[in-house]
Amino acid sequence: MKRTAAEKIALLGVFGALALVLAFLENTLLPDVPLLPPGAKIGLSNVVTVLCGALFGGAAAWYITALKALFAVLTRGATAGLMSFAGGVLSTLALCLLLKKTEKTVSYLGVGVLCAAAHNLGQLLMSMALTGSFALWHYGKYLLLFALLSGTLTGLVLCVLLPRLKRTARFSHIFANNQNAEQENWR
Amino acid sequence: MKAKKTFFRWGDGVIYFVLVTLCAVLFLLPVLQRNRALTAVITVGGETVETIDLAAVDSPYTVQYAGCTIHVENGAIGFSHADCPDRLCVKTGMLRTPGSAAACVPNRVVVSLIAKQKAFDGVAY
Repeated sequence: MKRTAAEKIALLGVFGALALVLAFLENTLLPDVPLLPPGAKIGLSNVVTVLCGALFGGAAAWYITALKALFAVLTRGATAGLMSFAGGVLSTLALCLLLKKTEKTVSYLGVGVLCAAAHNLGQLLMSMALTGSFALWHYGKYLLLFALLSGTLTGLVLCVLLPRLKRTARFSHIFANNQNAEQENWR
Repeated sequence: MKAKKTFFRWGDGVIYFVLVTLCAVLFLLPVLQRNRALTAVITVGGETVETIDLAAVDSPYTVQYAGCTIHVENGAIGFSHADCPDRLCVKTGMLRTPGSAAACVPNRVVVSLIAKQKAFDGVAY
């Protein structure tokens, strides 16, 4: 399997591009829904982060996170980049903590919700640090409520998507924990 | 094909329970300490620059801080204009309840509402 490393790099590139496109679409096509807290997003590109974490391991998730933050800096400025970075770091940290437990105790529904909550917490902390004021703390409850909704949505997407992706025979030799994936399908 | 069996595990229940409880507590806290005397605090870069007693405002007016225009009226305050690209602060709308806040993160301007009695030891006008 000499091609494995190259294939992994190529796949990560594809997933990275997918994350950026989803992030871009989310920012332009879904600017603001009236009832939602301002600035809240569904976190479609976070689906890709969790996907990469589950398929290739934690390092790949960090790569996607860094890529997204860099993209935010380039397209939306330093403030948006810092917000994306803070949210991404906490979210990926939560993901890495949960990845080992996804075999038995937690499904991707829980992963999606916790990552969304961690992401919003990171953004809240960063916005408090940037403004130097604790006043925004009260905004956290809306962010948490929205994280529950959006996290459930992204978690459902992951629950549907991941087993199918893991079953894809063409790339199965690249994915981490492939043995477990096989067992999961037959359980 | 019993992959659906792994859809919801007990760990998910724990995560949901903790987060939903936390969310409910955060939403209930302001209800418990409801207070009518509203004071608006405007901070720029962490420094408090203006404190406004919203009950004492007769006619609406605007104030300007670091590229942001803030609209003040009786019982409400909010960003009416900002020179930042996303204008999330303007989209937050007018603030009316204690504890609510709006922020222009690029300009580092924060407007927050506090219940008058508990907020500070003393408020200078």
